[in-house]
Amino acid sequence: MFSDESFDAVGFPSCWKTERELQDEGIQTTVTSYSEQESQSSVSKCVETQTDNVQPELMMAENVDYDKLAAFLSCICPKVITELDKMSRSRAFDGYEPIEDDADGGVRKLHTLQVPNITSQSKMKVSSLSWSCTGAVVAFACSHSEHESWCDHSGNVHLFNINRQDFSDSAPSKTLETRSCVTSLSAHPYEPSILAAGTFSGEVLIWNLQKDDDCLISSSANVPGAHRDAVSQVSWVRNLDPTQQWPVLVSAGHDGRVLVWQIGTHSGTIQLREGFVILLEHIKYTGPGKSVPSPVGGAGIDMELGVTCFSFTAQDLTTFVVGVDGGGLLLCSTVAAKPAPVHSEVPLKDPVLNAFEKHQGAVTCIQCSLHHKNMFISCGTDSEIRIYHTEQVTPVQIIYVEGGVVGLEWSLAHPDLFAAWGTISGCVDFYNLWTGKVIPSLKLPAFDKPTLISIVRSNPHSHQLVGVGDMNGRVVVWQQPSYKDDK
Amino acid sequence: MASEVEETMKRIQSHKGVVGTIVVNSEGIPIKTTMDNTTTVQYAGLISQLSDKARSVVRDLDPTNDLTFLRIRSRKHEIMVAPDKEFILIVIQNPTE
Repeated sequence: MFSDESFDAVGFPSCWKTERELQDEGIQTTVTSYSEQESQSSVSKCVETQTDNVQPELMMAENVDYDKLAAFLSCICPKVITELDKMSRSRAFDGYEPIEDDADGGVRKLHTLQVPNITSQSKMKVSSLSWSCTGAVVAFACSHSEHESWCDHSGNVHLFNINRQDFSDSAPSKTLETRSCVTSLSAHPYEPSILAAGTFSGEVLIWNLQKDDDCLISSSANVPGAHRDAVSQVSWVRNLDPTQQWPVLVSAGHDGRVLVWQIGTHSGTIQLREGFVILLEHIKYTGPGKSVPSPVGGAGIDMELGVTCFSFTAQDLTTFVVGVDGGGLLLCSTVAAKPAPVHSEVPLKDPVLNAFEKHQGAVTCIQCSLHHKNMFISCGTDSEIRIYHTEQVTPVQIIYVEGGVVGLEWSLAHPDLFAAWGTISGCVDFYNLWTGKVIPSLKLPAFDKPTLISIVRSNPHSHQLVGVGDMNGRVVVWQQPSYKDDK
Repeated sequence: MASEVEETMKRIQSHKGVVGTIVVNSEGIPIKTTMDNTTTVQYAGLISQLSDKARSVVRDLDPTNDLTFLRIRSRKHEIMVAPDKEFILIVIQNPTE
């Protein structure tokens, strides 16, 4: 009954342990490449130079025969003493006042050029004037004063060679005809036979005056991307491309486009190289806290803004300032341009970098200084002349001109002077940049009947000559005295 | 001899109204001067040229004639030039008002 029982051990595998499967797998990271580069902060050295106030060496003559010198002096001394005594006792010059040297003084009218107007009844004004680079030929365009909507007139450009002996005041040496009124002229900076013009219909024309029969060598009329509205200004700008010999022609129009044209040196063909467009959005941000309300009609911000004038800085040929409708002044750059969201035949870029404080009226003229770095002057219909520095948004100085001012130009004779015209009195005043005051000795007086002056240009060759065109179709060439700062 | 030269120069220099005295040789190089370097060099060069031209004018008009004095009167000074074969004496004087 009580027996030992032993049971078999029962075993069962535990189920929580599962056989792990093993597999061999190899991985390899990609080879990391090493390279060594050394860099070193640059060490700067400071070097100062100073010009020396050079006193000319007084090279006293050597091997002087003192005997001869003594003899000479003892011989001449009494005579000299006598003369000196006579001089001090002399009454020859009593009450003698030398006449002020008038040879250099005063403004002189040299020529009055006017082409008799027999074809048209309405008043013709001189819309643009340009001297050839040699200073011998003055080209001016007569156009109608008022255009209602579109220009149906044919324009004329008259060329007078004032250095020729058979020069006549009323007969131009050449007359060029255009299909519409010319708004701007610009002579080539070093090729005296090339003349460029912009017209009311948006054409940019190039003439080669050496050709006998047809001077027109190219026109932008059929080039895609050309202006669709009146051209406000054309200017030759030095080419940054070293392979091209000629400067480029830059034209700005009321359609908001600033176009850069390449003119072939020998063929004269015109090619659009770059196009820029000024968009309405830039005029919105005109100053701290100020914003222009969007125009009536709901024009979008990608509308173009008409350009009234432009000027390239002389030191940095990629920077330029434009004046737009509404009085804005914008700083632009040809290299820092972004593609513009505008539909057009050719890709256009938006060059605007910054906006300056705007004029209260339309900007009629901008001129960058040739000598002073980063300074430019502008004038507008608000009768103000403003002097700006490109790095400052507000103007450095504002000069208020009674009677209005239409245009400005830097004087080629003196780096600190600029001419302003357009007042009702019909005079051309010269201002000093630093003082902001008019220089009375250089003022060009009005004609017999005061008329508004439309354009003034200095002769690039003879800096004393200034050509003045007025609203009656007359051009007067004045000679000015030289101006010296009274310091 | 040098002292005689100095004495004569002093005599002229101390005369009434004399601003400066310069002695120049025939090549236009100053020998003796009472004025500063820059002015002397200027006067020497310019006056010797003018004096040569004036002398040639006189001699061209009449070969037996010769230039004795050349006086240039300006608003501020009178310059008196006494030329010789080898030297030129330049005296700058203030005219009495």
